Amino acid sequence: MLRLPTFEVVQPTALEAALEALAEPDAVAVAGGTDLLPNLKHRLAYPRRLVSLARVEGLARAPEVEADGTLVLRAGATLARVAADRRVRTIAPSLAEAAGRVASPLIRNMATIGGNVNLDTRCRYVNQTAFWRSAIGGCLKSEGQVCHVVPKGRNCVAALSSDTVPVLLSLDARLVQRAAGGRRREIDVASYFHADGTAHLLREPGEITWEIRIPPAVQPRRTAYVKWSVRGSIDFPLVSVALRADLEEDRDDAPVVGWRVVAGVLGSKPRVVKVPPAATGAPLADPAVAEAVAEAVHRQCKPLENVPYEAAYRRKLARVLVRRAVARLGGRDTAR
Amino acid sequence: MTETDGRTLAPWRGALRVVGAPIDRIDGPAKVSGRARYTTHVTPPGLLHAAVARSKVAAGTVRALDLSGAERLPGVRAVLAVAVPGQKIRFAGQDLAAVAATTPEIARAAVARIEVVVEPTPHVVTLDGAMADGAPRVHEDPVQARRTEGDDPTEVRGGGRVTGNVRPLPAFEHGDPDRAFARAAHVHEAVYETPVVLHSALEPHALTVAWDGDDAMTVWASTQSIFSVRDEMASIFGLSPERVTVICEHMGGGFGAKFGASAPGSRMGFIAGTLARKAGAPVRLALDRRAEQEVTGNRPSSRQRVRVAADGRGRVVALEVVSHGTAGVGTGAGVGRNAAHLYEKIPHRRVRAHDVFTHAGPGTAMRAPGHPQGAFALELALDELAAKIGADPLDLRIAHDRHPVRRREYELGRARFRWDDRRARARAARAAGARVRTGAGVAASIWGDFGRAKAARVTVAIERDGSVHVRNGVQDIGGGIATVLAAVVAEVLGRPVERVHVRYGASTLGRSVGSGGSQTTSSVAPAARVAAERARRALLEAVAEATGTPPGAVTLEAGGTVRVGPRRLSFEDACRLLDDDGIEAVGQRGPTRSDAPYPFPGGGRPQIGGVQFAAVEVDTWTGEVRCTHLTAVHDCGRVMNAKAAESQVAGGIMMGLGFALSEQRQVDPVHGRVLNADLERYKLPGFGELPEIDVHFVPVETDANETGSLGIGEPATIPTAAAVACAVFDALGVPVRTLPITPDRVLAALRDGRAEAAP
Repeated sequence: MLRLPTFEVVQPTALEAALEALAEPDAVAVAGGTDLLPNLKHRLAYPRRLVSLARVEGLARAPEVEADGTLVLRAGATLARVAADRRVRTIAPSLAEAAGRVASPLIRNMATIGGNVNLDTRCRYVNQTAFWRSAIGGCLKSEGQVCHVVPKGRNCVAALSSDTVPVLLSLDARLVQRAAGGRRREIDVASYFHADGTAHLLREPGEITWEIRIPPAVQPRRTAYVKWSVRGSIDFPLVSVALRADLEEDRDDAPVVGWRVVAGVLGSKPRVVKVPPAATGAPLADPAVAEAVAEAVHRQCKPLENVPYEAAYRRKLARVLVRRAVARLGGRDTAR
Repeated sequence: MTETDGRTLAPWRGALRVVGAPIDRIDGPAKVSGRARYTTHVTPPGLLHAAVARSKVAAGTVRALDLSGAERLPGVRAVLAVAVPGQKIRFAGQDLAAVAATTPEIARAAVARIEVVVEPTPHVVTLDGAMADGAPRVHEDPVQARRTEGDDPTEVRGGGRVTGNVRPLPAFEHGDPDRAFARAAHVHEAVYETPVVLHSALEPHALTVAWDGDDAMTVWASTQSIFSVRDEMASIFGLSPERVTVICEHMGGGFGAKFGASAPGSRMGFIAGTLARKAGAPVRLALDRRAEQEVTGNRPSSRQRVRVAADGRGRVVALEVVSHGTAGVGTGAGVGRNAAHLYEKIPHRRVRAHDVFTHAGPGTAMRAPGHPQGAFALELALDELAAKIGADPLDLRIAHDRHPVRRREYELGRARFRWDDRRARARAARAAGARVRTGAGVAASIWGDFGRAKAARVTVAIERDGSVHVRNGVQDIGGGIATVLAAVVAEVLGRPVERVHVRYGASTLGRSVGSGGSQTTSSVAPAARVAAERARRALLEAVAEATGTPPGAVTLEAGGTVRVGPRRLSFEDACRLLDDDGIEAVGQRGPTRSDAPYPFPGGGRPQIGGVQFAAVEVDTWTGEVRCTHLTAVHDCGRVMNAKAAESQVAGGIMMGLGFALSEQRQVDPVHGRVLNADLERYKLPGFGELPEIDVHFVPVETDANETGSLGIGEPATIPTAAAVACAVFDALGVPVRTLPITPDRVLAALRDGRAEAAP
């Protein structure tokens, strides 16, 4: 089997101690470890020290709703917990859905929501053993200087593979980042990502995600998460789209007044799809609405050969699955 | 039933007390509690860990090896050059050099310091590329086919002259196909393709070698054949086989790639044994997943041009399959027995298969070598012909099959599966243009009983304390042979299964067979019955002597009670009358005595049938295929353990579903490397992909051997992918002729097939 490299592990219980440990050079934070450890086995990083966040006080606290209706998730909550939590399921059902569809139950019991937000990008030419990569001379994201997905490409296009990021963005979530010395900042999820697969997070050195804050809905809405993968479980998404429809009233058949549609697994950052006016003004059950949203996704989302499966098929599939998801939100049967 | 000579032992008749019941596997508790020791759990004192330097390029010539960097690393105890300058590299992953070190980490670090200069030469990894004019030659010299116990022993050997990278396999011809095609009323012709797929056993190839002096060794191996490991190690190192002890207590899976001390693409036995000798310490060589998927064998691909013809009265009159497939640098890209022998009422039949060499890891036997590929092309082509002539696929099959049991299985399956209903529903959904279609398909299995006489020596011992012991050196690769041995002996001695202790998995426990060709049960279980019958007779004779009773007056009753004249003794009390030595009896299986119910081609052994019916749901917008139900009707003589037999069939189906819908090795043509040599991107089906599985056995009383048991491991996987492909054709009205049936292929078939008439 693949072996881990040698490293030191510290397991602080106080947040400040964890942040101080992370301020050291070559230190990397590990929460559930389900993304980091396989990457270490593949020698995609050689940290000298892992700072475990598992025992940090308060980091794994249960989701809460603040007085103004803001849903607050602590970064250390496991995906299993986020998926099952009553408050999350009520306030942000698409987030519960996305968290519940990550990998498999075993992984969701270990993996955290903060880890999923900070998930590394993935590519078929990167997530291989070091030996395999050495045979092709590596690539922009590993040991090399070229891109095997986009020949002559200068920019790494490894795929954002998190199931929850598109959903959080569609819900206008904000991240609370903490760093040593009492430093604390808030940033929109929309601003946290960058189109460079080798460094796609605008995370400052020594910083961890402490909280994820989902503001209260200003408008009645319906949300959904669309995921396609080859198998029913285990797999990373190959098509990933978060949908949020804002409605005039809190009825399934109320007219749509606005959309927030976000796609993952294209390049290294989530893509906010511009939805045309044709998709508003009518109820979700109106086939023209579904068609307009699906068309917009199809036109604006161009998958690359960075993950398995033909890009052309994934693009077509996104259109079909989005059309169906919108119809389902409107209570329309899509079986025929 | 007092005759105990293997040659005259009367077959069992009717239902039995233990054998055939659903029995919990005796190794179950150890496995689920984590107590079971697998090969890599064995850690002899001073154990060193090996790692192998492998070729990064797919083709080239070794120019120089520098091992000094590895030798200088602290913790390294032995370094070995496996390749020599001038040697050709023919696939990425080929062995170059190896090290043994005190930890796996040091061994890997040392391997990274080995410098090998390989002068790369052009490589070719695709079938088309290898068959093109001017393609790089993979082998310059004549090729020796590598055969293992995983291959069909009755298969005609040899191959024709190699032209370029193409090597013809022995051809099959019956009747005059050319004339029949020329005169036929309807001809269907199409090309069918199957990918290279990987065994993907959860436990990779692993072996630990400990020398005992310089003329003996103990080897722990993850193997399907303990005795082939013993014999190969003895031959490599010039030892007497008796001086090589091989142990394999538990196995984490073997599907045809684990025979002998070497993996098909890596000289593991030589490497581990040589490093252990050099270092003077035991050495473990366990492959990582990448090497496991890249160099330890695979199921070769196939591209089959199938022609099948019918006359004006709906009878199939001719069948021809011309196939090219690649087993990488290896041989054996055949298409099995299906086209040649399944539908014997087709009067004119021809099969021509070819190996096409490519610069990729060698193929090897994989669960019914050739057959799942052959079944897929044959059965789908037959359904396409049936659609042309307006025949029901099930009726068409029954009409052309001579095997009486398989014909019965088709009829049983028709009812259990509700074939007519499902076909009617599929027709209605097609006619209505429904988005989600359903479909039903059926396909068959052909396999032989390869059980061997005298190949296994089983010992049955009865101790004075009433305990019963069975010993044989067979490996239990998961099929459950150890439990079967317990059941057979329990049956004969009237004991409960849990009171029979079985020792297995070591060459010191008596000669046994390799687990290939579905022959384990039918080779070893009969020997156990012979031994048990002898032990039983010896027990009764001893009781008669000790009690001064005439031998005929002592009998063993069903519950294990010993009747002595008018008295009854419990089994334990009867055993107390034994000498200190107790009883020890050895049994061997006699020769195959019958080919009933129907002979395998070539005669002299029974043919094993089996049919599977698949129901699928296909989403015509996304192209996704889901197998929703699978009815499997099989025969394997007398079922020894209903639970294990059902589990074998379910496992075969699961493997077949992967072949049908998701599994394929992908090789980057530019780099010559496998892109998905892991279990993340190589898509084995998970539980979420499994249909409802209904397994039914048709009991067959055969006198082939002393237990009437035949094999099931391989027949169980042959028809699955074919049945699924036929069901997809039924659902769509257009065929998907390439496995795996991925959503994009479904959509492409719908687009291209729109013009074609629906069946």
